Amino acid sequence: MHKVSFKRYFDQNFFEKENKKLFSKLWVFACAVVDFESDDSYVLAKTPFGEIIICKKNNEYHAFYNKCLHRGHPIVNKRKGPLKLVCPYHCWSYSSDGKLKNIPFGEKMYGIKKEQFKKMSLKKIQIIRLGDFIFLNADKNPIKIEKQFNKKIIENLSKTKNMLNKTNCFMSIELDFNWKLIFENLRDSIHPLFLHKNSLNQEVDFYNTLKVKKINKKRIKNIIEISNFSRDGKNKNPPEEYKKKFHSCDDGSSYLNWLLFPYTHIPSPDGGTLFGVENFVPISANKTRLDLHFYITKSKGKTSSIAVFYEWFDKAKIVLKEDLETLISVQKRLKEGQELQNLGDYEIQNIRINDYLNKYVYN
Amino acid sequence: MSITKKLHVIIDESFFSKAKLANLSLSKSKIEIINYQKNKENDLLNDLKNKKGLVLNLTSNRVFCLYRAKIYQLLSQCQNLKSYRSKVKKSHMLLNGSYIEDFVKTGENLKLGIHSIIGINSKIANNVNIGNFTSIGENVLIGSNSIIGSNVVIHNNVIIPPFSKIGKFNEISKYKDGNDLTYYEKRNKVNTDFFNGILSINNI
Repeated sequence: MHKVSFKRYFDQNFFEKENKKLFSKLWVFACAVVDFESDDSYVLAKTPFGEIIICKKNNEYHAFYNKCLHRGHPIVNKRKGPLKLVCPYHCWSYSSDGKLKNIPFGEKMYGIKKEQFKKMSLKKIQIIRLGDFIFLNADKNPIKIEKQFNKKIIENLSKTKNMLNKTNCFMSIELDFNWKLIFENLRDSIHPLFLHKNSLNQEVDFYNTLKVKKINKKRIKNIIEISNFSRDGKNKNPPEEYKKKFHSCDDGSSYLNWLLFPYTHIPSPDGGTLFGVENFVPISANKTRLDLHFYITKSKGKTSSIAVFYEWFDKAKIVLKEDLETLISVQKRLKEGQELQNLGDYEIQNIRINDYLNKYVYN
Repeated sequence: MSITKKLHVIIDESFFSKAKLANLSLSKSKIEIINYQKNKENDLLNDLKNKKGLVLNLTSNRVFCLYRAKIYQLLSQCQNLKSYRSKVKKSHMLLNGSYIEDFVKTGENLKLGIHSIIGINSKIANNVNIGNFTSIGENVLIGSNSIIGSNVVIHNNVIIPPFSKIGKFNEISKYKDGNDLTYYEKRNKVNTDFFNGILSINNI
């Protein structure tokens, strides 16, 4: 039996250390290529290290903080839009690569010459594209993405390149629990049999994942050991009619799961046709924002993807609701001082990750 | 609207259903209202299996999951229930469960698909072909030789010019407020019962 201290799930000091040593140092999911409305457009990503504007122009992507160089006012407010980066406060304008384009009355009122302000630029963020998904890193000298995610993860994500349909869905909700709880829940292979017995377990064969594996009690030394990609059993039901009308990035039948440390989960319940990106963005020690993106692959003919999204959302929300409501009640108990005790051998990965956090983040 | 048998009317919680029910010109003794709740198809089927007579599907086809099409599938398992079908002119071809409300003026050769509805005071010209599970709103004017696809929603007071073609799953409404520039943006947002979140559909 194993035990994990409960303080890390609600103490703000722990959260600040996580923000400083984890979220600001690692690659995190931001958006997908299909989120951009046109070639000249931007997407605003809300991350634990701040709001980031991601610009697309001539198929090139740039990312920078959403803070004007003058008084720090946000340059854009909407989640996405056309590429007109003008701060509404004093009308300072910026180009797609974050460089300062113009200051009204620059020389007269601010005493800044044109040559001077042309050298000024918004604070940049590192950006990388994996398949059709875009990741950000706020560190000055970011680690290589190959050192954060293993070969299997990168290879399988890269299969989505130019495969996603432009029509997509997005939803954002705030939830009252710590971000770590949801990932410990996602790594828990037993809970679907009981918590989702009437929903997900009816469709996917989870008994397949219960085969006893060798228990790895070795300490995690590298961050690459934390994230993983898995095929969690075949679908029990015959493939739905709509799947024939869409391209598939994978085998079209397995339940694909990407668990990307620190806070992104990408399930594809039908083997690479529909992708639900669940970005559990940490807001504080007790609050997490779920940015839920739904993507689908390109259709083979004239198939409306909206109806498929509606169908899928109706199914997905039942499973998610079961998970999220459980975690909200777990968080309440943790606040009251309930220890996470009697953890089993099958939860060894969660315990190993907590040991890693103890050593490299909380110290 | 005149009927001899009892009419079972299936409705959901949408404003669409409530409006259609209010327009029904029948005494309460002749109709029986059956409420359909989301994701409770089995309850509805159990309820319907014991019924006899006519049935009219007045659920909205623009709330999640294309309910009207789902209910059509369920009704195929109820042998004692016959779908109500409006009768207007001889040259019309009205399929199972198609329903035309009162005061609708129709031209010749109207084809109306399965479980499609035409709202009160609408005017349909000659040679119009309307697909399955389509809703035509109130005071709608459809020009001659138009083709309207399946699962289409045409809102109230819309004018469709002659020789128009509207593909399946489209939704057409009158530009309500010229001053509200975000009107179309808001239309792509759906309120959900999932933690009161708003689902936005992008790049349609």
